[in-house]
Amino acid sequence: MILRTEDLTMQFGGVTAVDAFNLRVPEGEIISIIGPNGAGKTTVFNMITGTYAPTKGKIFFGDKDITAKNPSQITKAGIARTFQNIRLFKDLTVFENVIIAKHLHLKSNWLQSMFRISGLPSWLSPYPAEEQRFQEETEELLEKLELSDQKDAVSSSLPYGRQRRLEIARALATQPKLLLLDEPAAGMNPQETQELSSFIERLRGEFNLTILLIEHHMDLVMDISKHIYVMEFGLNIAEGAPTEIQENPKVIEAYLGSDD
Amino acid sequence: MMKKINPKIFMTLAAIALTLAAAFVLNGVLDSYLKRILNLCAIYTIISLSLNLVNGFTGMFSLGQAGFMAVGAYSVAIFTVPIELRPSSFYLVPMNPFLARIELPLIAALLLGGLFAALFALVIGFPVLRLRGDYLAIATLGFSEIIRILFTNMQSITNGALGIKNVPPLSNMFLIYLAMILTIILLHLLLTSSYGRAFKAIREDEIVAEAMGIGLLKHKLLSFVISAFFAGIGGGLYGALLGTVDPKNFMFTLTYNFVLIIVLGGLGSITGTVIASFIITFGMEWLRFFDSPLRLFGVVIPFFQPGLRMVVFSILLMVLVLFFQKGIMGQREFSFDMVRRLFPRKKENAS
Ligand SMILES: Nc1ncnc2c1ncn2[C@@H]1O[C@H](COP(=O)(O)OP(=O)(O)OP(=O)(O)O)[C@@H](O)[C@H]1O
Ligand SMILES: [Mg+2]
Repeated sequence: MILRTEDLTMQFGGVTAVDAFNLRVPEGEIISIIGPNGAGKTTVFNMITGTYAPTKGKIFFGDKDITAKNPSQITKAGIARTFQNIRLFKDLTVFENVIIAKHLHLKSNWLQSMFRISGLPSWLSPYPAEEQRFQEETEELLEKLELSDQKDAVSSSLPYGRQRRLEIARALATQPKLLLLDEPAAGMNPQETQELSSFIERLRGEFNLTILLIEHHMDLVMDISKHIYVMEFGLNIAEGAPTEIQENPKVIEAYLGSDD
Repeated sequence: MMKKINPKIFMTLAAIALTLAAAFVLNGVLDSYLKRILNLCAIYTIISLSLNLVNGFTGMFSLGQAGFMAVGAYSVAIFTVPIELRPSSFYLVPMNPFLARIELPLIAALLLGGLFAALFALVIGFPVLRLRGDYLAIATLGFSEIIRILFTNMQSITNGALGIKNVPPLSNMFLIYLAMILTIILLHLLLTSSYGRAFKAIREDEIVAEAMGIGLLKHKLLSFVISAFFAGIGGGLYGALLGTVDPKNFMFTLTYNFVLIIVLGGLGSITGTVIASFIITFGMEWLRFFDSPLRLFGVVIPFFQPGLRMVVFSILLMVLVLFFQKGIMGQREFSFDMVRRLFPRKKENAS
């Protein structure tokens, strides 16, 4: 298991947004969380990434307890995320958006970064080599995600689908082991959603990733998930392989809504 | 082994050399009034840049520049006044016997002032920057008042409200402009490094920056402490320019000048800050006209009295914020490419 939660619980005032959730994410798989609006899916992500400290319960990444560590430590440990509502650095370029996410790998301190002299051996001035590597890795990543042609464009000027892809590129730049995608298909048409499905599969292989996915598009989820967790009102009402989930009466009820 | 020099770097080096040469020549030519204003322009540039690092490039909101300046100015005043001239300031209470024996050259006192200011920033920043939200503005505003009151009361060190006289006057334009250019170069190097990108990420969206692995406390603190260092240096130069340092020089209203400058120049633009520092500093001189009584046809116009300048100043700030939010440069920098684009048909000199 690359990620495991134990009775993960989050309360906001009187509202229990997530109630004793036990999640298991095996390494190298694509695991999904589905559920109606307000079920608590994003809140699970926010706890895993350290944005919220859980009210109760624990989170393990590998065998390390990462419960309530701060978000930058968790990203350094190897978990990266995208956001449900795209959150790019809007005024910065595509290239800058991605290279910023390389900063966590920087070994040079701020003085070495300021007083950089290229051409010197790296024990005297380590920064230029690191910067060069960041630039190359960023170029390469943009190339792989087919964003190179717009690398100097201001990120907010990109079409919607590309903004989503850029957000994924930025998350990948941190070199995560586990990637959390919060509704990557939101706002996409059926054809784009179809493409996204093979894109996510490709990412997993190419970057050796484990992927945890929140999604509403059932076709996408059923298509690529190894295992699915279903949430409703903070509770994990079902889990299983896609075929099991499709036939589960509780799930059908949660999605179609009971008549009351 | 002549390597081919990048024309941009060449132009920049030429601009630096030209500025320093001009400062050197003007220093011998200009009258002391004009020299003083031009020196003030350069010092205001240093301090405004330091404020822009925090407010414009890192997206925090500090109002502590007057306090950090005071730390730098007092460091210069305490350590550079010649030992034999000190009793003429410290006639009520003698100077602390330990300090009374130490005299330092200006450069050392400046650096010491910068380091002290940075230390203060570390002490304020560490608790405050852990909190989410804009507590920094309140904390720094409080700090700059506290430091002033402290300096008013530490009689044997700062000579209290009487201030310290006989600070060896600094009017050498070359030195002051050299300090300005060094500040610009150092901040440029910082901001174009990976750390500078991290600062901008925090400015754009601190939640996302943190999710990308950028430690908020560490980077905010770094920006804030470096800012204080340069404000301390600027304050030291300011003290040396004035020749007398007393607590009233460092009211928190002084900080508003720098806020106006960075808003006018563009939050997040080094070159904009430089341009705006010159505009505002000269502007403030010309606005002095509002502070002296005005007679028209034998009638005294009632509003022209000391203080009106600040009113006009505040109105300008409001107009700026309401109608001109991005300032002169926005977040862009002046570049030679920009000039070239302005004059598309002009042929470039081949020399
Ligand atoms: N910071 C917060 N403060 C208070 N309540 C919150 C907070 N964040 C989430 N909630 C509440 O927790 C519940 C779960 O929200 P969450 O965003 O996790 O749902 P979701 O499953 O991601 O829904 P959606 O599909 O609409 O994105 C909701 O009732 C929401 O109002
Ligand atoms: Mg959600």
